[in-house]
This record gives sequence, structure tokens and C-alpha cells, in this order.
Amino acid sequence: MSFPDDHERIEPDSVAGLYQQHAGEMRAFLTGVLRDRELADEVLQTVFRKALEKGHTATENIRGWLFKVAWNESMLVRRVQARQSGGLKKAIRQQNFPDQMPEQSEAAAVRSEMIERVREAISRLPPEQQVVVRLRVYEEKKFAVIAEELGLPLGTVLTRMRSAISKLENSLGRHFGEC
Amino acid sequence: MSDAFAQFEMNDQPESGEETLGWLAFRYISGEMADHEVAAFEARLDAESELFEQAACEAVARAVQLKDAIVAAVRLNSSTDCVEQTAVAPQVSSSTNLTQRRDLVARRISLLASAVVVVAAGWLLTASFGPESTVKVVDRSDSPVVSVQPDVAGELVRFWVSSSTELALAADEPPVLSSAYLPDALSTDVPDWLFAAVQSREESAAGLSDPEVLEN
Repeated sequence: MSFPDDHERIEPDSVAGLYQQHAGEMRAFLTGVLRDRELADEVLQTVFRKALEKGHTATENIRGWLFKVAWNESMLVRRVQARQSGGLKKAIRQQNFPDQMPEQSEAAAVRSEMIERVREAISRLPPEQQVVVRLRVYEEKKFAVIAEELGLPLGTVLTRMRSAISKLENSLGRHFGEC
Repeated sequence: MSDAFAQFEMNDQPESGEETLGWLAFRYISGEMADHEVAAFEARLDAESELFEQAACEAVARAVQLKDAIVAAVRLNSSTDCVEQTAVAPQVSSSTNLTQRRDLVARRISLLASAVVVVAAGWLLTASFGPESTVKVVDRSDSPVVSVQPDVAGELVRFWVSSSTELALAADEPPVLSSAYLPDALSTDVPDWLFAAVQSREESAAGLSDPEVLEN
């Protein structure tokens, strides 16, 4: 969904459509920046609340504008987090967020397809890359630990992982951003 | 982030810009970046920065989605493995049950066989040494005591008769006991031990419970 440059405000009726279209990617982005899914979900609500209240004021497309707002909100949260590390989540939750919109069944279906594609792509990886992917992503071990466990140089582990990530990204293709 | 990691990254030559962005995003979300790398990468995410790249933001989102998908896929594989193992488990269980059932049957058969042997042995012992089954015969000439069963007594009679007949025929003489119905002949020629055996058989048949010692 795109808006003309002179259309500075987003109609309330359009917010639901925007959410459905971009929430998955925005949530992922916020999760990557904040490293906290719960926090990311809450910041995501803030982003769309601002879209509803203040409207789309950017000159670029709505997607870029959402990324920008999401980044700024993330940095705001981080700064608050740095000041009051303990009470951050509580402070954020005290804000009056709109009710979280339910995940659309279409997005869930896309996600299922994405998981299946990744599953197939993982099975096609060389075994040595599968091991590294599993240890790093599923078991959340650091590369240095993996290298030590496998008795390999760190560079070898990183090369295997980078190669695997590249293949897995390619396997997803257009599915990125849709869930 | 260790110095070794940072050193490796400095020497690592990217294969393409897009791949490097995806790889950088993955390392960024995984917390596998040196501090200076984090600062440099976040500058590409900051809309206020001159280095801002929407592609970097998208790469971060993709990396998170990919990571989630990998976790879900690996978890799915693990659960599938569990299901397969569970499916195999009943086979193992059924074969184990079959083995256990065989062992149980073998044990029962063994017990049954043992019981049969014990009963048979007991019956034989009872038949051999029971109170109604034996008669102690004491020879008049202080011969050792001989246990004679009633059936054996009959056998002795038949054996003695046939033997005597054969001997008589062999000697071309008329058999002493050409007829078993001649008590006189029997009274003169039949040995005492045979009388004792036959008598004990008759007494046993008459219902005597205790063994009797018959003295000739």
C-alpha cells in the first residue's frame, strides 16, 4: 500500500490494512533491533498508533516511513532502557496502546509455507553446514563456542554459517516480509 | 565480541554486497558483532543518518524472519523425529512383549513339566514303596528279604510255568504242570517262594492295608 506524497494523514480505515501488510516485517525489524519480542510487539503498537494519530508525513513510501518511525521508537526505548533498565517494560506497558490486531490467517499461512521452505532448504545443506546452523540458531551457541566444540577454526565456522544463511535466504525469495 | 572474531571479520572478504548485508544483519541480530561493527551497521538503520539504507532495515527484518523460520523448521524436524521414534517404540515394545510372552510360556511349560515329573515320581515311589503294594517275603532258610509286588507274583507264576514246560519238553518228559488246574501237582513241585508270592497277591487283593511278612 502506498500513499501519494501530499497525502499526509492516514485514514483510520487504512490502518488495519497497513498493519496487515507491514506488521510482520516491522515486528521482525524491531525484534532485531531490540532483541526482545515482547518489547518489539509493544513498540510496534506505538508505531501504528503514531501512524493513526499523526499520519504519514514522509515524502517516501509508507514502508520506509514505518521503518523510520520504528527505528526512532526503538532508539527511544533503548535510551529509556539505559536510564531505567529495570522498569522499562513496565513503563512501556503503562502507555495506552491500542489493542493488538490479531494475526491474519493469510500471514499465518505464508509463515507456514516459509517454514516448510526453510526446512527443505536446511535438508539440502551440506551436513557440516546443517550442524553449524542448528548449533547457532536453534541452540543459540556463540560462534566461538561452536568452533571450540567442533574443534574447528572460528573462520571455518563463520564461513559455513554465512554460506548456509545465503542459501536459506535464497530459498525464501519472495516470502520475506510477508509474514 | 572477541578480538579473534573481529580480526577474522576484517580479513573476511565478502562475496557480494547483498550477501554481506544479509550476513551482517544476521550477525547483528545474533549479537555476534564487535562494538565498532554494531555502530557502523546501526548507522545504516538510522533514518536520520546520511548512511541510512532502507535495505539494511529490510535485511534486519529478513534475518529475524529467517532465524525464526530456522528455529521453527528445526523444531518441526525434531518433533517429527520424536513422532517417528514414538512410532518405532511400539514395535520395540511389541517385540519386547512377544519375547516376554515367550519367556512366560516357557516358564509355565517348565513349571508344568516339573510338576508332571514330580507327580510321576511321587506316583512311582508310592507304587514302589506304598503300604499296599509290597509284600516282604522272608525265605525260610534265612534268605534276604525280597520285596515282591503283586503283579510281579503273577509274572513269576507265568514265568515259572512256561519255564517248566519248556524244560519238560526239552527232556521229552510230560510237563509237570501240564495243567495249572492240578493242585496236587502244584503242591508237590511248586517252590515255596512262588506260593508266598501268590499268597501275598491274593491277600493284597483281599484288601489288606499293611504289608505282611510271610514266613515260609
